[in-house]
Amino acid sequence: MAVTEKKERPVVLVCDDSVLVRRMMRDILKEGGIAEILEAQDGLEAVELYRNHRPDLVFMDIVMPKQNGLDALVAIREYDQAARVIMASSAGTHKNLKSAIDAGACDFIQKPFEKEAVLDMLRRNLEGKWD
Amino acid sequence: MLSRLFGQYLLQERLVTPSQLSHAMAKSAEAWPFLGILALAEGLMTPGQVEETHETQRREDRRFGEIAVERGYLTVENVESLLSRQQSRHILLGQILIEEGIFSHEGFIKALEAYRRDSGLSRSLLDALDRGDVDDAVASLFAGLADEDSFLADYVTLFVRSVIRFVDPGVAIDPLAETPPSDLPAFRQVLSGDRDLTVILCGDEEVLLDLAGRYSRMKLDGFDELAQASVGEFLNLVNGLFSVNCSDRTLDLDMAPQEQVPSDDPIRIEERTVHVPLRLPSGLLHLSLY
Repeated sequence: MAVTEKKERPVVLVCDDSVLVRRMMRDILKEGGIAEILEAQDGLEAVELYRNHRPDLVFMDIVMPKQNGLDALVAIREYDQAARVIMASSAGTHKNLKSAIDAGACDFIQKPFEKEAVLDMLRRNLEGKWD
Repeated sequence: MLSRLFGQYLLQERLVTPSQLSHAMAKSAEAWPFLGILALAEGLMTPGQVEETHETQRREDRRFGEIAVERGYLTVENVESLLSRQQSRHILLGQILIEEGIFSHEGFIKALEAYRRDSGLSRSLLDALDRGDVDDAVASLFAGLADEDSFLADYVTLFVRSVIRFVDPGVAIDPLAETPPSDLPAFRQVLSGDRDLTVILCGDEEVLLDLAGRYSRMKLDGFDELAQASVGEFLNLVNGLFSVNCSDRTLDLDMAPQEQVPSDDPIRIEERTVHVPLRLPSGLLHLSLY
């Protein structure tokens, strides 16, 4: 069932260097009723896409080439203090979690993703804005 | 774990055909080894005694163990010990091959003895592989290797468990596999921080494609970008989980992005610290740690 049924169409940005993860996330998000999905394969692309499209939610990997997800999170939050960024990584170490929280991440999801966990993140993070 | 290695040995020695092995492996998923075949494999009974006891069992509708003890072939302790080995999948494989008429009892025992001898594996490693006990199997591999805080052994254990969980529940560590050639497609990820570790995963394209398909649960047509990403993501996943485990032990590790090793930068297998060959149905997957 779709997470949101608002007339407005939420935009979600998925940033991961793995085409496999981006494909899987796209499938899950579509199932959750998200029609507009942006994809970035590193932190630099994610920041640029964020500036251009102001997505409602970002799923951000941590370990990526060119610019990692934590640095991209900082850049996005500098640009938009209200940005909602969920860190999505297998590397949920204490150090990474602390850095993510300090930099303003709104949530963390551990790989490998369970579909229900991703949909739950959507519900929680898009709820107030789109209901 | 051991049934796949034993099956591979039977195949290499041309004692079974690929279709006979594949049929027996499929059948073994839903069966248990009989006490008689376990007693044979342990050298506690002769083929003649097993056949005679089976015959009496059929005639009198009594338990195999009870008859064997009564005739003095086994002790009660032997029976208890054999019952505890009923998880033994490679013995079950032999039993099915006997039932299918591919082996006689004598032929099976001969093949099993030859495998134990030719493999050169210690009895403790054979037992650990037979039980599917990853911890013990990895510990046997690391016997004699300097790894005081078990950092590398912990990594290998997690890696094998992840293959079992996400790729293939029947994967087998194959300690006797040959060193892979250096021109195989390979994926690499470097972990650094409180400890340094470089992990390389390599195999034939067919094996990596098999891994990719099983991990992603997608139908992949060839070793294309998606398949390569799937192998890389599996490596990334294991390393992420390992770094989280280390973090719980206050050991900080930073991961560099995983990458496919360029073909003009051959992997230096001979310089590795640890090499763990894993047997998937499609062939060997090589894990190397530096």
